[in-house]
This record gives sequence, structure tokens and C-alpha cells, in this order.
Amino acid sequence: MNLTYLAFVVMSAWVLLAALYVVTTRNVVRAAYGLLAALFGIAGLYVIFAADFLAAVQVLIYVGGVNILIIFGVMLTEHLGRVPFRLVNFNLFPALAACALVAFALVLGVLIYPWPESAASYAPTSARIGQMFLTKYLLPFEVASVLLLVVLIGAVAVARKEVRDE
Amino acid sequence: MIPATHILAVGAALFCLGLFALLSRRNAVAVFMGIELMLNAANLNFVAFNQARPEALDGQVAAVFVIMLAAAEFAVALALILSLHQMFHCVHLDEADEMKG
Repeated sequence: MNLTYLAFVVMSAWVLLAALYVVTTRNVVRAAYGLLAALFGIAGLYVIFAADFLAAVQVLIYVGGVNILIIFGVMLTEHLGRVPFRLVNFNLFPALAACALVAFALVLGVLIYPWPESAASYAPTSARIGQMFLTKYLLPFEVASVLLLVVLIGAVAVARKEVRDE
Repeated sequence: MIPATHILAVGAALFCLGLFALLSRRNAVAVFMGIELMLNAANLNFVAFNQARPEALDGQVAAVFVIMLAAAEFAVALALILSLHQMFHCVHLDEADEMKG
């Protein structure tokens, strides 16, 4: 057992415990902060897998963007006067059964198929990813920009208050 | 060196936790937290497969696209949650059961 593998085990345990807290806690604000911990842990996993650009993007977009949006969503939709921030899990047994089925299928797939062995190299990736965006993946990159613009306008159109004159 | 099956196992566990939140939560925001966990599990698998051919980097580019789509998806989701809140005064998914605008 070398040091890289030890770091991987510690970071995976961190991510899975944080995710377990997110799906079981009764307080929606605590769930949001548990998600923060899980997303940071995944950035740590990317560092262990030598994906430096992806780790930076994870921290910038997920931790700095999506998670802040989630906390906004919590704060804007919870009534502070009533019993606040309560979360409940309902449909517990059907949900657990469905998860057990999916877990069984995934574990079977992981164990049966001969996955290729990893041959990690610790070279910086940012420059090469940037070149791939502008050569091999140019069309998906441009489509993504248009999609982001559409999402920007669509989100504003959906979220604003209706001002119909009738 | 980390074996690929171990990374895939972590991804599978994370995916199942997210699926559990998606199926069992009542609050729309908590459901979206589950979806984010599932997207992150998929990203972890992309990076794991990328490690088999570290000179290619296609898996990491795919993961960047997934992160971008997740951000876009949650922006729309937040707008929908806010309009749901205006219409029904709560974000419980089982109470929003009419299609009329």
C-alpha cells in the first residue's frame, strides 16, 4: 500500500461520508454544507488522479457556483417563520430497493468487465485541454456557449414574476 | 497505483447515494443535491477511464462538459424552484400536482 493509494482511500471515505450526510440529514442547510464538503473532496480526488485542470474547475464552478446557488435556493424557498429547514425522506423502502438494485447492477458491471489498468502520468493538463477545446472539440465548445446563453435568458424568463395585464 | 475498479466502486457508491436522495427526498432543492451527487459520480468515472490512456485526455474534456451542463441545469432548476415556490408557496414535489399555469 503506497502513499497515493492511502490518500485515495482517505479522500474517498471523506466524500462518501459527506454524501451520506447529505442524503440522510434532517436539516436542509446542513445538507447544503455537507454537499460543499463532498464537492471539495471530489476536487481532492481529481488532484490524486493528476487531473489538475479538472480540480480547479470543480472548485470554481461546483463549490463556488452551483453550491452557492443551492444555498440561495434554500434561503429563498424556506419560510423562516414556520418550522424551518425540515427535510423528510419519504418512500423510504421503495427508494432503498431501487438503490439496492442499481448498486447490484453497478457492482456486477465493475467486477465482471476487465477494465483497463490505469497508467497515470503526472504531467500538467491545462494547456492540452485548452488545445483540445479549440481543435477536436470545437463544435461542442461553441454549442456549449450558445446553450449557456439560452439558459441565462431562459432562467430569467422563468423566474421573474408574471406581469400580465388582465 | 490505484486500480480502476476501486475508483469505479467509489463512483458507484456515490451514484447510489445520489439516487437515494433523488427518490426519497420531498424538498425540490434536496432532490437537486442528489442529482449533483450523481453527476459527480459520473465525472469520477470519466476521470477513471481517462487514466487508462493518460496521453489522450478525452475523458477529462468530457468531464468539463458535464460540469458545464450541471451548472446550466441547476440555473434552470433554481428558476423552476422559485416559480414553484411562487405558485404553491412550498417546494414539496408531491404537492405540486397540477399542470395548469
